[in-house]
Amino acid sequence: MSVDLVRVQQLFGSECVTGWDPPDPALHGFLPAETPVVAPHEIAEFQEVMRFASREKHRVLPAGSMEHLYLGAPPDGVELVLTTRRMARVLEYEPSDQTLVAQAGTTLHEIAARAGEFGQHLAPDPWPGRAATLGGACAANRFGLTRLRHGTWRDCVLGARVVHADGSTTRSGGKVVKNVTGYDLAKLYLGSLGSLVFLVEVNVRLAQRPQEVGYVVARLAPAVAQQRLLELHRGWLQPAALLLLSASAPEFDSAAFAQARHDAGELLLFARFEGQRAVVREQLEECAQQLDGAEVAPDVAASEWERLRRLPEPEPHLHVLRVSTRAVGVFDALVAAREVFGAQATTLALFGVGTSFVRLAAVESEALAAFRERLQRTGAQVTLQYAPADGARRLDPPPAQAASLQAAMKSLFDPGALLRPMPSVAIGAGARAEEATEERIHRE
Amino acid sequence: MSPSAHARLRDDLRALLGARVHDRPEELLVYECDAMTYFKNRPLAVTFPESTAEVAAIVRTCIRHRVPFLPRGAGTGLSGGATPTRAAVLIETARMRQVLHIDLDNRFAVVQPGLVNILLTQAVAGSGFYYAPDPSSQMACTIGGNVAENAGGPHCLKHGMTAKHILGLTVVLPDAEVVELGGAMADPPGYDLVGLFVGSEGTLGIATEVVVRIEKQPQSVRTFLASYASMSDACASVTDIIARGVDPAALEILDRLTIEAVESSVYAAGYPREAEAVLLVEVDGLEAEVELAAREVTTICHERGALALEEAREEEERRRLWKGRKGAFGAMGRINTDLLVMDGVVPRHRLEWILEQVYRVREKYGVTLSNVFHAGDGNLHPNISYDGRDPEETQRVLAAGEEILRLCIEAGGVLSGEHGIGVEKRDFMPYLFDDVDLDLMRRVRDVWNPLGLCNPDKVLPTAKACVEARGRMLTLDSETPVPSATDVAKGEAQP
Ligand SMILES: Cc1cc2nc3c(=O)[nH]c(=O)nc-3n(C[C@H](O)[C@H](O)[C@H](O)COP(=O)(O)OP(=O)(O)OC[C@H]3O[C@@H](n4cnc5c(N)ncnc54)[C@H](O)[C@@H]3O)c2cc1C
Repeated sequence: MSVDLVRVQQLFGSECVTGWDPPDPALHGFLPAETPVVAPHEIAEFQEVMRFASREKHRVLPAGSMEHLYLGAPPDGVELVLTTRRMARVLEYEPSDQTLVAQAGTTLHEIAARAGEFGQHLAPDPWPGRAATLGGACAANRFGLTRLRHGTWRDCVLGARVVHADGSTTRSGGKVVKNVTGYDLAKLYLGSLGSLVFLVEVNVRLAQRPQEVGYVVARLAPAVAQQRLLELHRGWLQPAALLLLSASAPEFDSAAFAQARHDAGELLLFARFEGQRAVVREQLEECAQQLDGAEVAPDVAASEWERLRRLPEPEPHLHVLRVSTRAVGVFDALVAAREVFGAQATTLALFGVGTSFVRLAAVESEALAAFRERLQRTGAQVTLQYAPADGARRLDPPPAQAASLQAAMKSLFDPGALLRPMPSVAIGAGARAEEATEERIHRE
Repeated sequence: MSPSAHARLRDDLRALLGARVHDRPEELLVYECDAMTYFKNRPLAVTFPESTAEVAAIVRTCIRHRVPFLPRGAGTGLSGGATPTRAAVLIETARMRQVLHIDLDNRFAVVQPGLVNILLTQAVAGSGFYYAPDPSSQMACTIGGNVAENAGGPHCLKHGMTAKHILGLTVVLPDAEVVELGGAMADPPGYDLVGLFVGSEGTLGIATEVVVRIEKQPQSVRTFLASYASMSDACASVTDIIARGVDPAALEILDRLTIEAVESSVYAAGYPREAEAVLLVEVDGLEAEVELAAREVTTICHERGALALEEAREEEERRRLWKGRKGAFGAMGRINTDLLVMDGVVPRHRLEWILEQVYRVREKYGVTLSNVFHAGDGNLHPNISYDGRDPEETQRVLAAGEEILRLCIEAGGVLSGEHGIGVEKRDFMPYLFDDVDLDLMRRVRDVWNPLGLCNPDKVLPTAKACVEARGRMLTLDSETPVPSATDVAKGEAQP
């Protein structure tokens, strides 16, 4: 049951409070329409709302632009949504230091525009969506396809200011690029999916935007793909991304793909290189040569890269699975997805990173279990990132390492369980039943 | 601790480790401080475990005897992290120094915490790999100590601090439970406890195995030494190098006094003595990109009026140029009996300002202070040489140090860039964080370390302590009683 909308409007001003009406239609059924959504302008207002919620023990769903709310545990029993959407200012930007402090509701687009003026950018570079926010991207630890070179938020968040479940606010870290002053609590918040704190300000280190970007596109037969990739990986080239796509998917029927369109079972390799012009060209040539006959495809860049970036994103009728392996172990995911799900799966693997995304239109519980079973042997973890409401499947969460410590951190930050549950929503290999919590992935 | 309680503790430890327990006064002497010599306190005993199980057994024994314990690597720490503040047992990792596993394709290695930093690189160098974080103490410091301090080093400018290179840990928690955190698999589920542990200075447990990221050696490396008639020209070169999009691997500045100390020592590197500052620049990466970067660096140094610009022609010369930088603390240490190495950080664009202030503070307090610093990331190391036997001089040195750190914070910076807080800067924490911030850190620590026995009195000022407590803290009596577990549980004592 949500808190009374009118009452919340009276308390915090009707201008700040609306009902549940998320921009993404897929999320409409996520919560009842009368659930109050509060969008404060300032940290003090934020604190006030949290004090109210904690006094009256209302469960709160932390949100940014609400584009990635599907990540993490389902919002069971949410009575109030609190969003940083209106706290969207860049507070400090020091281009010569490559550091920026922004309110959590600042969109990735806004930061890209500001930093772009000085040839800089946010290295993790997740899909910015319509209005994905800095705070949301950090809380969900969303990363881009160039993670091989640019890492994740862990590597560029310098500090944070947060509001706690009891309405207090704290800071950790700093604004400088090097800092070991006190515990690095921001690390805990990254990827915590709104289960510990509300991020309200984030301090980040920016990176220089590459002068040039280029791609090599190649078709690889599965039998040789792994060996080819390993050879590239062991050589001197420094790709920003080595993406493998097992696309039988109709959505990849654009011209560039059609040209390189592969027979069933073939993999499509996208190697991306970044840097100064001469350096990129040299690597493109070398890479193409090593893959004999591969195409250096400059114009694939703009259009197809953007399409690839969207692959891990939710779509109304798709399931998105995420598989975590060792850096070069992504073939386990590619092979398992093909063997278990057949042609209906589109798998995008980040070679050298160890992350793969599998997109499926429909999935049976037995197939999921078989998929997990296959990957279990290699120790890989499978997470259901997104499942459409109607195609819901129940999946066990993963075995949390140091489960009692993890739970203790959760109850330290959120003793009244007012925020989201812990983000343990993966189906994992070797799950120990006694450690599995009651959380379920499906959307009800 | 009473002699009989001490004897019982020793007997229990001996039963576990035999002769790998040292407790004779002459054996303990070298363990009474780390490289921050100002604060000294002898431990009750030093233990030398060889495995995770032995570390856990030592911890269990300490808990049973209600004796504090703390991990120690090589003792090169510069903030008193491995120095006991109370009658405590040291858990020295010197006998846990194996490389357990190397996986080149997946770019990781599993090592024991006592492995010396440079030996990790040596273990993979033959295959064309290396371990990137390179503290200047890398010939001695351990991976466990690096994890605990989130150690940096000259090349962390481009390649990142230790935290970026740690994938997983096996940790003996302060209650003796053994847990695995993270690992070689991407994105382990749950909170990033590895990220929290790195930099926690031995207060959250003892790392007994470390999964580290290893990297391919760069195809090409070029090293330059530019000398300047003024510090501000050197700083301006740094600003320009970054502004023009060069991504240098290292940007290090040494001031005149440091140059003199280095050149008069065994670390002499041929730095020009007449210069007010030298700038050491290294660029690495693919040959073509290094070539471009090198050209840019050369142009900038000349534009900024470098008196001379030298490039290392071969590996031998490169080593020579680095020898002076890496030996700078050692060289300064020879000027007097003691050395206070500071570690404040400022936003890079405030470098010139802070250096002016540092020199002003030097005059104000009449101390022997030199500067050697990681200019690329605004991490200062003002070094103050002094005679620790002279209480008046020591007071001046401490006051100067404190003022410099306050100035760093005023400039938007922080207390420490890589050496950690330890006991040294513990009571300065309120300059940067308010009570609520510190209280949260304390509560996080207490979740991991509920009895407060694991490396007590470090990093965070005690709940009631305020800045004025500094003097008291440093003379803490090694017999200060430790509250019992039940007292803590009953809420009758602060751990
Ligand atoms: C000449 C010189 C140059 C230096 N240069 C640099 C530099 O460039 N960059 C830099 O960052 N530092 C530098 N330092 C500081 C120091 O070397 C680092 O802090 C290093 O990481 C300490 O490692 P250690 O093995 O000596 O640890 P110790 O000094 O023994 O311990 C340091 C801390 O780590 C804890 N600890 C040790 N082992 C473990 C473990 N297994 N698990 C948990 N906690 C543990 C200890 O309790 C203590 O709190 C320098 C020091 C010297 C003397």
